[in-house]
Amino acid sequence: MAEAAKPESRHFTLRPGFAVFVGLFVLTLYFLWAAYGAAPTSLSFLAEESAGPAPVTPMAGMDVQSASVENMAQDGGGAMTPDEFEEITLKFVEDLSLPDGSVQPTREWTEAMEAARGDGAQEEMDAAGPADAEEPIDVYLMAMRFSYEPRVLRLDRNVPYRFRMMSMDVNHGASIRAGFAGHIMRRPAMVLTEMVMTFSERGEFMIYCTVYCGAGHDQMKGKIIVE
Amino acid sequence: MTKTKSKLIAGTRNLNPGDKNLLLAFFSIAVLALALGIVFATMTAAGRTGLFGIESATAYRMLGLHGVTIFFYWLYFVQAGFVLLLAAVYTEGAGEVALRPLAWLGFVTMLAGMVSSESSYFGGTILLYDGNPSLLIDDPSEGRFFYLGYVLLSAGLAMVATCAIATAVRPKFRGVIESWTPISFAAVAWSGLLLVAAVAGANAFLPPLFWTLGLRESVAGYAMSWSVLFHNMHYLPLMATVVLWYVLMENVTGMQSVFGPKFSKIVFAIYMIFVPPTSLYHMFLEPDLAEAVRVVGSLLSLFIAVPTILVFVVIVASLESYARAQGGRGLFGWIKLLPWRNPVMAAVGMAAVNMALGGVFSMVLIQERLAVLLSDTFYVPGYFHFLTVGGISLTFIAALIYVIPSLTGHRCWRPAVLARLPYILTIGLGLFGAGGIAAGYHGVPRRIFELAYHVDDPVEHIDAPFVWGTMMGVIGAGSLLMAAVLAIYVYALLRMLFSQNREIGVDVASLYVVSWSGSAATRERAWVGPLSILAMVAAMYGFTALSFEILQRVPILVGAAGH
Amino acid sequence: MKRLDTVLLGIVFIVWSALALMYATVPMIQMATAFRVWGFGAMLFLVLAILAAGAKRGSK
Ligand code: HEM
Ligand SMILES: [Cu+2]
Repeated sequence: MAEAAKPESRHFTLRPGFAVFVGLFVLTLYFLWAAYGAAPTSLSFLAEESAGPAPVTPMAGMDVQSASVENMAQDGGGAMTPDEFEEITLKFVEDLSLPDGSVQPTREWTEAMEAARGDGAQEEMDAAGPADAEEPIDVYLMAMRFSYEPRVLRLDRNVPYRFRMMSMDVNHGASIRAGFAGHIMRRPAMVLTEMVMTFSERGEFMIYCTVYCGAGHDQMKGKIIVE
Repeated sequence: MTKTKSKLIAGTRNLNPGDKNLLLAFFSIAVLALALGIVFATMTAAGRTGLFGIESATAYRMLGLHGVTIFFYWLYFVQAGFVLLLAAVYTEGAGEVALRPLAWLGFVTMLAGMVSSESSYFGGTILLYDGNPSLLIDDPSEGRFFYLGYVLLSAGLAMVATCAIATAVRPKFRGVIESWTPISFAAVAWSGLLLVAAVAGANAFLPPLFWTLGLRESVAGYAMSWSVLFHNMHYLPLMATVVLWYVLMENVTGMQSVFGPKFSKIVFAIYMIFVPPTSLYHMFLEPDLAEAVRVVGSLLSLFIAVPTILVFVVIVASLESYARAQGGRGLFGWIKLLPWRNPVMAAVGMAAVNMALGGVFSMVLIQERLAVLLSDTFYVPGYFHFLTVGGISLTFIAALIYVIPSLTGHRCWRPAVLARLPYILTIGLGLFGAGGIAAGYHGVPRRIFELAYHVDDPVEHIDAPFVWGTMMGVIGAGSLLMAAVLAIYVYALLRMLFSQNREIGVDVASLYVVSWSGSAATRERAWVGPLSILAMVAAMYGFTALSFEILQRVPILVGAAGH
Repeated sequence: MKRLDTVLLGIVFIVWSALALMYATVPMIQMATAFRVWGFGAMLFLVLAILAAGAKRGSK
C-alpha cells in the first residue's frame, strides 16, 4: 500500500474524493421522492423560522400512519376507552346488521350517534374541514385475537367512510387487499385510530391481519363488499 | 497455481493451541447454529408453501426458531470468532488473544444463552425472534427462557468484545506498535459496536425477563428498546462483512487498497459515525417539525447506504487497478483475471452481487410513504434474505473456508464443488427474492401460513387471490435450492472441522489464488465500481417509481374527504 | 498515521455524544432508552480513543 502512486499522477477514478462522490450518489434518490411528493421540498425554512404544520402533499392511499387520534382524544372530548369502543362497536353491529349478517353503515346512524353524543370534538373536526366536503359515514372495526368485528362490511362506492378502529388486546393489522396490491395498516393496541377511506372500485376486498399477534394470526380475516 | 502468502492462513496457523481451541469452539457452535437454522428455515418454507401439511402452530414455532437461531446465534457466534481472530492475527505484535479465560467465559455464557432461547420453543412460547412481550399477556412465564437466552447472549458478547479490544490494545501499551493496521482498527471499532449492541440487548431484554419472572409490573417501552438494538443489528453483520471482504480479497489476490490504509480507516470510522444518526430519521418526520429538520431527517435515512457503498467502491477499484497492471483489458475484461476457481473468491464475488440486490430493494422500502404498500408483506423477507443469506452469511462461510482448515490442520473439502455453490445459491435466492418481492407488491403478508384464508360461510367467504399461491411456489422452489446449497456448505465445514481424512480435499494454502502484490496501475481508469453503483442507484429509482405508481392505483383513497 | 487511530475514534465519540445529548434533551424525541445506549457508546469510544493513544505513554 505504501507504493500507492502520487495523487497527481492518478486517474481521477482512483482518488478518495471521487470514491466519496460516488458514495453520495444514492442521496439523489431524494429528488425522486420529492417528485412524488413524498419528501419535503419547500425551501421556505431559509426565510422563516417558525415551524407550523408542514405542507404535506396529499396523495391517494399514502397516509402511512393515518391520523392517530390518541392525542386528540386526550385533550378533546372524543376520548375512548377500549370498553367504550367495544360498546359502540357492538351497537354499530347490532343496529346495522343485514339479515345475512353483514353490516351496512349508514349516514343516518352516524348522524344519530353524533347527535346523541353531542360532544364538541367531532364538530370541531368537522368545522375545520372544507364546508362543501361530503361528511364521511362512520364505520367501526374492532380487531382482537383472532378475529374482526364486524366481519363483513357492505359499503358504497365513492362514498367517504370514517373508519374508527381499535385493537382490543395486542397490536394487530387491518390491511385491505384491493386492486392487485395490499393496503397495509398497523393498528396499535388500545389506541383509537381514525382514517377516512373512499373505495373507488366495486368488488370484494379481503381484510387481513399483517402484524403477528399469536398462534391464530393467520385466522384473522374479514371482508369489505363495495357495491 | 501459486502458493499463497496469505496472512490470514499463515497468521491463523501460527496461533497458539489454546487460542485455536477457543476459536474452534466459537466456529463449531456457529456452524451448528447455521445448520439448525437451515433446518428450521426449510420447515418454515414448507409451512408457507403447504408442503408437508405442517399446521400453523408448529410453523410459527419453526419461524421463531429460524429467526432466533440464525439471526442471533449464527451471526453472533461467527462474529465473536472473527473479531477475536482478526484482532489477534492482524494486530502487529499481538499474536494471541488477550484475556483468554474471559473469552471462554463469554463463550460458555453465549452457549447457555443459545440453549435457553431454543428450549423456550419446546416450552411452547409463541414469540418470534423479535420477542414482542405483549404477546405474552396470557402467561408471561412462557417467555422466561427466551429472554434469559438473549440476556446471556448479550453478556457473553460483551466479554468477547472486551477481549478483542484488549488484544488489539495490548501491543500499543507494550510499545510494540504505534498505530493499528486498517484491519485491526476495524476490529476495534467492530468490537466497540458489539459492546454497544450488548448494552442495547441488556437494555431491551432485562425488563421483559424480570417481567416474566414476576419481578416487574410492566414492559412498557419495549418497542423502542428493541428498535434501538435492532438498528445496531442491521449494521453489525454488515460491517463485519465488509471487513471480511477486505481481508479475503487481499488474501486471494494479494491486492491492497489503492486508496491507502488511511482512507480504509476513515471509511470504517464513517461506518461508526453513521450508525446512530440513521436510527433517528423517523423521529424527524413528525409533520409539525420545522421543514429544515424534516429535510435533514429524510436525507439521513438515505445515508444508511453510504458507508457500504464506499467500501464496495474502494475494493472494486483496487481490484481493477491491480488487474490492469497484470494486463487486464476492456471495461469488464479484467474481471476474468480474478481467481474465480477459488471457492472464497466465488463466494465473495456473489456476496457482492447479492448485497447490491438487497441494497436496491432496501432503499425502496426506506421511503416511509411506501410502507402502506410494502411493510409487513413478503417483500420484507424477500429482500432481506439477499442481505442476510447471499451477502452476509455467504461471506462468513467464505471466511470459514479459509479459517477452519487453518485452525484444525485439516484439508479443504472439494474446492471445485465449493467454488460452484455461490452461483447456485444466488439462483435460489433470485427465485426466493423475486417471488417474495412480487408477492409483497401483491399484498401477500409475511409471517402467515394459512395463506388461502379459506372460510366456508357463504357471506364471509372470500379466497385469497390465486396468484398468491403461485408466488409462494416460486419462493418454495428458491428455498429448496438455498437450503440444499447451504446444507452442502455446512457439510463441507463439518468435514473441515472434524474429518481427518486426507484423501479428499486440498491444503487451503494451495487453493488457487493470484499474487498481484506488485504495484497497481493507478494511472489507468477504474470504472466498474462507480458504474455498478450507478446501475444500483438507477435500479433504486426504477423500483421506487414503480412502487409509487402501483400505490397510486390502489382503489382506496385515504383522507380524501371530510376533514 | 500515528495519531489517526485516536482522532477517528475521538470523532466517533463526539458525534455519538452529541446524539446522546439530543436524545436526552430534545422534548420531541424523548428516548431515554436510546440515550442510555448511545451515551454508553460515546463513553466507550472515548475510552477507546484514549487507549489508542496509549502507545509510549503506557506502562513502558
Ligand atoms: C436456506 C436458507 C433460508 C431459507 C429457505 C429461509 C426462509 C425463510 C422463510 C420462508 C421465512 C419466513 C418469512 C415469513 O413468513 O415471514 C424466513 C424468515 C426469516 N429469515 Fe430466513 N431463510 C433462510 C436463511 C436465512 C438466513 C441465513 C438468515 C439470517 C442470517 C435468515 C433470517 C431470517 C429472518 C430474520 C426471518 C424473519 C423471521 C420473522 O419474521 O420472525 N434466513 N426465512
Ligand atoms: Cu392479528
